[in-house]
Amino acid sequence: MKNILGITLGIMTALGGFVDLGQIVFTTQAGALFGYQLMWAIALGTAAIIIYMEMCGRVAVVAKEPVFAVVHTRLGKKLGLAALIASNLLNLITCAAEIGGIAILLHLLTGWPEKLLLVATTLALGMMVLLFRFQWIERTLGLSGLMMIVFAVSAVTLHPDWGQLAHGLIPKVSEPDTKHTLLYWYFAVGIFSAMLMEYEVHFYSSGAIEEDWTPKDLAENFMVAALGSLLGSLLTVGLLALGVILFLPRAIFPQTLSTAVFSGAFPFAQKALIAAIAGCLACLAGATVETALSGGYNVCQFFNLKWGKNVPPKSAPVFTGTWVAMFTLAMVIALTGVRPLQLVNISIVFGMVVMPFTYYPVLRTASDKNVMGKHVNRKFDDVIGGIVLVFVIIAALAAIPLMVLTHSGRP
Amino acid sequence: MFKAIAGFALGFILALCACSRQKTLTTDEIRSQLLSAKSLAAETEMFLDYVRENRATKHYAQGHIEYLTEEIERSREELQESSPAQGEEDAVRKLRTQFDALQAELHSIRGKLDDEAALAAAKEHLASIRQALDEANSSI
Repeated sequence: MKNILGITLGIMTALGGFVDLGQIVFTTQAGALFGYQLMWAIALGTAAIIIYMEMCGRVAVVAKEPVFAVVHTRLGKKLGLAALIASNLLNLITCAAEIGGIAILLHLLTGWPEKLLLVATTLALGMMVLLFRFQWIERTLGLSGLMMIVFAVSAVTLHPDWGQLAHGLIPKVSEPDTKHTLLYWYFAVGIFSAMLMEYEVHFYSSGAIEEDWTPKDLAENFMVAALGSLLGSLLTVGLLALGVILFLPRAIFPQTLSTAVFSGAFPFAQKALIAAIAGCLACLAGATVETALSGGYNVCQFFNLKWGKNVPPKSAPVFTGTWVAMFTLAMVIALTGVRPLQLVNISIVFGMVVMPFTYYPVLRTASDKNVMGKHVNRKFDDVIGGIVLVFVIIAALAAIPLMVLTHSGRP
Repeated sequence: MFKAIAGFALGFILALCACSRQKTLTTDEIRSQLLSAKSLAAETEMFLDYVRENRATKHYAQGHIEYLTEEIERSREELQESSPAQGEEDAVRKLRTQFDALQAELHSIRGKLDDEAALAAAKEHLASIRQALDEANSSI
């Protein structure tokens, strides 16, 4: 039973991490534009996040060093601090986008004013983080996020072309013209980045410590990282397939969250639509909590201050103050009326730029026998981890130029 | 560290520039706006069928139409604040006309989502808007 409930950390991390607002709209758009051609980006992202999450969990459990403690040690104070500032800025922007997305979904569900829902959502999630223990937050949000399965069921019901889908696992180097080639690579980098969002691994490695994992739990660490990520990946494939089946033939480029949501319930009646909205709500709520808590985790781990959701809030004042500030600032940003999708586009692209500065220190630590002892990376892990690092660096270098050249992926 | 933060900030500014409105619309940007208008019209048509089959809840139908209207208004404003490149004035004029028609259509069906006849009529209007956009696209 402990093992089954333990998986909820992986499920919440994966659902809130890469099936968030950005992924829901981005992947549907990719399917609407390029059919199944970007399946390979999903497969690559899934492999990369499993490797990254497993390493982060292992380093956290064995060395008792979560991501930003490792970043401090390996990058030094100055570069590490720059990575911390950049990561927390992105956490803030993502948190604002997710809160905005939740308000949209609640408006679709109830018809109540969006701004009122935005404030109520922030307060409700803030209270949840304050009052619930870590395990109950992850279980509540992780398990309710499973309602997202309605997207995969819808996709299967609409009979995707499995041959084409499998063919999409082979990358295509170029499109008919320069504009489409740039767009293709923008969406490839975007999908890869959205699956590797920074905050999900920060949250996951901190969660492993919050749950008091020991080296005995390392097998569970791999299972949680792999199963959670595969589930998230399956839903992402479902979103891509819905984009291909529903929007590509009609030349529709979905530009709103509400469009992506109704695609998830398209073949079914009203109850499925409500389930699709509820599933998205749980994922976005998970992402909001993950980004806000990650803000607190990152700061405290970097400066070696007391942190933890399971310690009394007063005994970890910086941690508590930071996540409360993240929620509050995110709400203020969302209240200004800035479009959540614009914010999330920025966070996906800049998240990729920051990624090498956290991935590399974790890889180095996982390969350090002095720190990891018998749990050090095997040769095979180092090779695979190195290959992922190369992809991460290439994507990081390409992200901003592609964003500028495609006007943020405008067809 | 200062250089790293400055580089990141510069990237942010570049990103905002990429998202910001253009003053002069190039042919490519006009084509992109046309595709966007066509997509919004097609999406509304598809959604009206969904509503007619009674598969959307009342709040969802109202809310989704609001968001589609917002998207159309945003594109329309963007278009109004830009000027066309030389030789593309006619295409932009047609595009503006169709955005206006699209916006008017969405405004008119907002309160009639349970009126079958109004939805059927709106679908026909949307199909003709899409056709006009196709013609404008082929004239560029």
